[in-house]
Amino acid sequence: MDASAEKLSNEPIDVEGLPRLRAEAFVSVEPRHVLGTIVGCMVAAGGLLVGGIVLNNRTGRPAFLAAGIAAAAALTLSALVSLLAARRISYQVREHDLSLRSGLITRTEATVPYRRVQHVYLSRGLVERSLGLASLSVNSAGPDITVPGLPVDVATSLRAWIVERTGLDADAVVDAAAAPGSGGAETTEDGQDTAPDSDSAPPWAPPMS
Amino acid sequence: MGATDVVIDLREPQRQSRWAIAFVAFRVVRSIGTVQAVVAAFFILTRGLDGRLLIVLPVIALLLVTGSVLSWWRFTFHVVDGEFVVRSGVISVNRLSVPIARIQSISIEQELLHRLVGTVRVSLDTAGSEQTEFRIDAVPRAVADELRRVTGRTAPTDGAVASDTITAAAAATPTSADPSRTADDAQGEVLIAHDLRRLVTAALTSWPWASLVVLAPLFALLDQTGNDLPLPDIDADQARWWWVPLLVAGFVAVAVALNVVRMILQSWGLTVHADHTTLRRSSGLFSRRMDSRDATKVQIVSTGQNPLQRAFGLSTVTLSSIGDGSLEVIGCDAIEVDRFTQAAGSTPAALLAPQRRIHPAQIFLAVRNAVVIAALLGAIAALIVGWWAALAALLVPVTYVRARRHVEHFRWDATSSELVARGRIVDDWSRQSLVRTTNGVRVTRSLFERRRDLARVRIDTAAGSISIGMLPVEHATALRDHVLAAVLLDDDPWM
Repeated sequence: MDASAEKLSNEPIDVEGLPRLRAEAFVSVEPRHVLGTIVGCMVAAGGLLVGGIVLNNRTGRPAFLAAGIAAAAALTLSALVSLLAARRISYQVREHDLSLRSGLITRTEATVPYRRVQHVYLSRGLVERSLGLASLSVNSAGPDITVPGLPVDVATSLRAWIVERTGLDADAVVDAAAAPGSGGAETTEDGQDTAPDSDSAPPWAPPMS
Repeated sequence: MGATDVVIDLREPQRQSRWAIAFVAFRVVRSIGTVQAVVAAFFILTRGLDGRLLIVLPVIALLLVTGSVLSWWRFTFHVVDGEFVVRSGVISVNRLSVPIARIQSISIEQELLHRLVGTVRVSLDTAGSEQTEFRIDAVPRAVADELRRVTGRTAPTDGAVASDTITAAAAATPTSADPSRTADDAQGEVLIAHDLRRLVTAALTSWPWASLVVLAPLFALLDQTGNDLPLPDIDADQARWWWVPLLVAGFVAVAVALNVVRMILQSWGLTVHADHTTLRRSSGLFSRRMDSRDATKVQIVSTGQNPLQRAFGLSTVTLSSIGDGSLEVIGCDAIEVDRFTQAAGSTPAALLAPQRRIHPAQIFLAVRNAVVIAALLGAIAALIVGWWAALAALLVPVTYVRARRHVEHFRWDATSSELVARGRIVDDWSRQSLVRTTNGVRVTRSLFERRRDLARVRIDTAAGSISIGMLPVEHATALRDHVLAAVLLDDDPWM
């Protein structure tokens, strides 16, 4: 085929000349976004511990106390791991793609090019709202990236930046945060409202030129 | 446009064939429950028609017919302003539309019932979900052909020419193997045309287990009626050891025979046409199915070859594009594999000779994990089956052999336009992807990999992914950067 023949080019590539993700250009997110998870874990741990003590006292079976202590310890460990993992999350915004670095033991760097973005999703749960934070999900037809713990102004600006770079229209922008009193998903078409003028610069300089 | 003189204008709302009324009625009965309908019919036949039934039955039949006619009448489809629009609904009206450019594939299926009444079933798939979005039953063939033409899945009538390789190869390929093919089937260049001999060879060399699905209802029936069958009553002391291999051989022979039958039914007259940028696969003895894919939207080309297929030089090729399915062709020889791969815009396998290996630490990691799993499984099983739990230790040498073969045979490489990975444990396999179609890249480093400066790269497309582990970290990041650069430079519409 003509079209196929044109694409059958296998020229050597200059790997050294390719633009690279720079480790120092990653920006950490606010680790406070896991506060809700930590508080939830600690409350549950306290409840299980108290439950174990009460059942032990009533039935005289120490197995309840042991189970309560074990469950509380597991939840405390889980909360600690969440906190440590949250401190590992960072992101990098470049001219043409968004990258997320995450993982405590297994570390992952995921990158989604703006050209492949299908829609952008901004959400704010109860805890995030009280802390002035938001989560931004960037969805493609394949993998998705969710950047948690972004300050609201950064999240909305970043969303506007990605929407502008992808050429998405307002229909593709999902803003759960804008729905009054909601922490869930509700589609609005207010992408244009929160987007800054396309002429104005984003609040950070993209690290790659 | 097809083998018809009727001019179809898809700008005008089109209806299904009138046979669709019967199809709708049948679907309604089936949705109520075929078993319930049979039980009701049995009840009526045995009890006879009394006064009330004489009133109720005609009313039900009238409602069914009226509803079916109204449903047929209200269901229309047409193409307007570059959109395919479907309207349906008797009481509440539904309007579904999709831009023509977003249609990923179009399939035309003609089951035995359709053949009897001269209609087809059309399925249109977009990238919106993994299911087929639009399925229209009982469409006149001429309308379906025009729909396929309008959605860009066929060539201009003056005949677009494929690449020289394809054209030359197609010229030598027989095109009249199956008299049941329509004139439309013969459009475009023929890339692959399997005759009966090739189909039987493909069936005999492929794993036959898929055909055993048909035995499931038989086993269920035996389970219900087994006690009534006149089977000989055999005591344990009458059994002989050689019955076991005989039974296994008999079971395999039945599976192979069923597979041959399945292959002939499903793949009779299997033909692949290349037509401008469209690939069309058609096959089937009683139910004939034609799948069309835009070659420019193919994301991953996969090939597979089991040891028997290797001996006969045959492979299975799969073109994966976004949407509800892949275009798979079984029993292809090396020339056909290259031809098919090239038609999908990828480099023929012969020109891609990947040389890069993965780190042999993969063997240690796999064996270490197997030792841990075997110890855990063995400890748990020991409580239940005693010393037989020691068999769990077999997991370790099996894993070692698998990991060693994987490391020995795995090769990968990236060219300016493609990423290719090949391997062999028992079956040979290869996957190649046009890097420009990538949707996302992940570089992952586990604790084990970090200690050895290794990493895993996963390239995700909308139709699947290619993951390569145990790479030197600098190779992994360079591959990621290369893929991202290729996406940046991509100007082709692929979705």
